[in-house]
Amino acid sequence: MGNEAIALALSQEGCRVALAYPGTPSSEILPAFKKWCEYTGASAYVQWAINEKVAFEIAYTASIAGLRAMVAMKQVGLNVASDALMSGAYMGVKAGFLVISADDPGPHSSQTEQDSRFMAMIAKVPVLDPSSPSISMEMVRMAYELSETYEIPVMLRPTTRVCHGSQDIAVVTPKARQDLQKAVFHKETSRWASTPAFRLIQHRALNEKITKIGLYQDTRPRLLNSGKRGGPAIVSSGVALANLFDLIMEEKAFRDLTLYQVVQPYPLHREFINEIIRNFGSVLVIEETSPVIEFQLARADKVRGRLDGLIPQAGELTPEIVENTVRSFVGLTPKAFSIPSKGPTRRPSLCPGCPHRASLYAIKKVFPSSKSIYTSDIGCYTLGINLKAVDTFICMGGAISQASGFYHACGLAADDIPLIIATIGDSTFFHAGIPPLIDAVVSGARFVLVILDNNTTAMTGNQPTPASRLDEKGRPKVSIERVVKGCGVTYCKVANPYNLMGFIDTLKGAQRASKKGVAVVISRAPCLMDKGQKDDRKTTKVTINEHCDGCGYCLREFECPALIPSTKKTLIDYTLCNHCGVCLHVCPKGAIEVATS
Amino acid sequence: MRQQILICGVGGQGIVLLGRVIAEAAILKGLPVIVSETHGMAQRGGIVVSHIKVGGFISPLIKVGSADIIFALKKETLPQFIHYLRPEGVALCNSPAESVLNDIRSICLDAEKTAREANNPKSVNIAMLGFAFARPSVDKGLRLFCSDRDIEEALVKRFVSKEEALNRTLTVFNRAKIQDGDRETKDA
Repeated sequence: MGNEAIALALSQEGCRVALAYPGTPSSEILPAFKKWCEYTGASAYVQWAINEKVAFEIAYTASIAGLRAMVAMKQVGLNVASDALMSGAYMGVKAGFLVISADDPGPHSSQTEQDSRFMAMIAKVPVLDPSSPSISMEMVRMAYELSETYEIPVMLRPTTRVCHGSQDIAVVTPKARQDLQKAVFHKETSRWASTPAFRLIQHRALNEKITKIGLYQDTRPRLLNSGKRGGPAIVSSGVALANLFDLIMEEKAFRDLTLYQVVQPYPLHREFINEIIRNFGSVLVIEETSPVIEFQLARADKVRGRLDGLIPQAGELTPEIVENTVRSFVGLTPKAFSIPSKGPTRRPSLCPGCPHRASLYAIKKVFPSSKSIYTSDIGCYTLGINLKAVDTFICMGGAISQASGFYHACGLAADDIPLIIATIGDSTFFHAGIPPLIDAVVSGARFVLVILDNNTTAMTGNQPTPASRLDEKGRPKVSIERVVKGCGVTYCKVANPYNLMGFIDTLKGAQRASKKGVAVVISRAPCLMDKGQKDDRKTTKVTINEHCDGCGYCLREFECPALIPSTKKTLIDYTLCNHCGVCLHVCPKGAIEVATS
Repeated sequence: MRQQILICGVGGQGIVLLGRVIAEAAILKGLPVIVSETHGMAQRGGIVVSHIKVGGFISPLIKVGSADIIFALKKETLPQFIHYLRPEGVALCNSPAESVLNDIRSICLDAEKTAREANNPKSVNIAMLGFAFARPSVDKGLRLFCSDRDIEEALVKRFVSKEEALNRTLTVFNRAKIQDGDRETKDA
């Protein structure tokens, strides 16, 4: 897998400090790095951080203390880390520092399709754009060299198809490097604690670095196919380049197109910009997801791509889109690819028996949709949209601020405040939920916050959370309820959502308490997918009795994948059912009952 | 040898593992291989697709109309991905029905039944792989880039030091291989 290849290269290049916050498609990099280090016996510090900003700052600091470091995240995580990125670029680094930001054109599992290369451009740091798992290994090496040559953070920007692509790669058995350095921090106040006067000097120095990197030979664009001078040329990077390369090799009609692979989209090489404009009649730029190379080549009369509307402005550049773009570019009629109109697709849903389903169902029961606003957040429970128990989500931590936002906005007409219920997962709460909770207490907002605590970061593959790590006495190192109380919340109850009736009572108590301020309910039950947690639920086998008339109420309101629609009577798929027994409380006709056998 | 294989189905059917086994068979034969699969939301029961390209490709994705073989592990996903099949390709679909699509390039075999009969009901993925070598598939023109022996070798490598799991897997694979597609009991 591309992420494992990146991790292997990191360990081969002597990365000593590695941090990350999980996010698809980047999540496998950190554990794979740890695995390679264990395999080779390399000494390295590896940690899941509370969020991307903290991860960035810890790894960056290791680099200014002289150790090669890396931080990995998904593109929206880079938004969180961007504050540190912008300043880190000014101050620069000592040992090589790699910022891996994985983009998700499509998007397959992200809130946005944003292009991290633009963030590199804003920060004025170079970015490398791998087109395959194997080349990403080469780019890790190049990135460390570049970073140390110019004392600058370097971004590696793989996309989903690189991260989650797998390829045969010949690997020499990695060995732990013996030339291990000790971290040493050399004090230099004007650099590492620079005030605005010094920041201006640093900004000028950064500009000089970027100009030099625009002439750095190792990362120069590579000529992959040589066509006619004066004819058309294509400039591409990332997975779009991979799609393009196969197309040109397969279609004779495209053989005389000149093809360049851009290794470093920013800064685009000065000489290359001059050459390409001088030597070719027309230039097509194909890249994901935004026109980063194209902006730097902008010459409206010669350059074609996204800016003139030839390439769609959104979505993944699939081989079909790439082929038709090239056909249009060379004046051929586009091919008609028969793509069926979307049939009924299967939507993702919460797992059968998931504790979130029970929590969300209880919330709907206590706070009817017509009188309530449900703000939610980023995680598995976002799938509560299927249960119609999620009205909004914006970004990590947003559930709590949005609840405040609705409260204060609706509060302007004092008699018109709906019930507001925010839901947020445990890992998301730690990541970005604490400042908005303090803010809500201070601002006097009134709502119910349900922290869905399954003791893991579930959506991205069960990474740990601060509360899932235990101290020597077996208690969470950081307890959510103590954090909540520390934020100034006076009403905080813990309840088990599998005990649906008890949980509903707790929610009702929270509703009463929320008349005075923020009332918090921690819904605590382990994620069933997390093999690291003990599943000691009391299980119940259920069956459908003769009262079922197939009305579909349970399918709509509870949306469990183990409940199967059928023309006469709803069925239970026992291969899927996890025997949580919560559905016993769902059917208004009493058609779901405990199985006797 | 160049071959493009698309596997489609839903989360939990072992599509990623199936892709790995095929890729490992390619590596054992010394063929370059690139695999691309969807992750993320798919892990919560959504559709999973794996593109496998054997023999010197750079692009990780199969272009519409160029797959040589499609394995549809869930029959409902076949109509959504059949457009990837090239005109001479073969689509193998897991279904007890005689046909799922009115498309002469597709063939249906019941992988759930075979997996169940081999006492390994979760091995629908391996049953499908075995079907690639069964008579009805071969009659239809399906030719995987490697032999059944190559697949067995890849499985042995995959399940090294997990003998019991290996034997259970091989039982499904071998049972699927000899599937003759005879449906008279059903039609009667």
